[in-house]
Amino acid sequence: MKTIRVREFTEFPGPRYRDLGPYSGEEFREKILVPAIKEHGGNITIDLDGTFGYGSSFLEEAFGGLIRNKSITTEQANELASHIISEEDPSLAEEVRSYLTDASSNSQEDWL
Amino acid sequence: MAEASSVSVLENLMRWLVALAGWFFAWFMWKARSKQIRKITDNTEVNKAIDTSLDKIEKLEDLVIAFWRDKDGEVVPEQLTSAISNCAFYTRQITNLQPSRPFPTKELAEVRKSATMNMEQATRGIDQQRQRIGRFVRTLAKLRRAEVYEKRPFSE
Repeated sequence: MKTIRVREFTEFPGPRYRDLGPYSGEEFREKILVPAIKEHGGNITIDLDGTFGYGSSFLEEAFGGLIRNKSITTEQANELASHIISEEDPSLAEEVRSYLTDASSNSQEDWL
Repeated sequence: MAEASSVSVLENLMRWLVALAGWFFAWFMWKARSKQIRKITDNTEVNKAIDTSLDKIEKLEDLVIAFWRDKDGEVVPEQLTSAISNCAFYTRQITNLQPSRPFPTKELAEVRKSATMNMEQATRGIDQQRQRIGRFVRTLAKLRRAEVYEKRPFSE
């Protein structure tokens, strides 16, 4: 199983979109997540530890965006949701799981 | 003569038995006291970690409210993510000291969502964000009341 460590992408996860700043959720999804899913399907572990904190926009865009953009099937999303880990802050894994399993994933619009 | 000798042996045996019982009692008391001291120390450590966590939560509240209330405020998004990360770190210290306390997974996720969702692009200011601030304050109140931050009296 492939393990993706977010800290290897950046220790300072950024905003939602690329045009809002560096190391965005959009960039993480397109550069790291989508290619890995194309190669391994949902059989990937995502390790969220080792960064200096996440904004929900980063998490929602990176993982909820997979569903919105149809980069992942429902089965793959469910499989991926069970392989999200964070020893430092278990609430991060919980939040990411909610974006992956929320099929509509329109939650970001409620906040605008 | 033989009778006197057997009495003396019995007397010696009794003395040894009394001495052994004394030593055993002293050892038992020492063990019990050590255990009690360890428990008191653990309880104090946990209470200190709870105080620190609650202090971090209070700082987070001030920071998030200032961020969303002030249209041209000086608080930057990175301060919010870092403050939430601090809350998680110090809460983890409590659960590390006392693993029976559950980490407030759902509550902290809700706090992060209400504090940071779209913080880089949403319009700041009390008029636009009154609802969000209200939602944040409610989620934070829920977090504060989580079992992990409850102080428990020391029990034997």
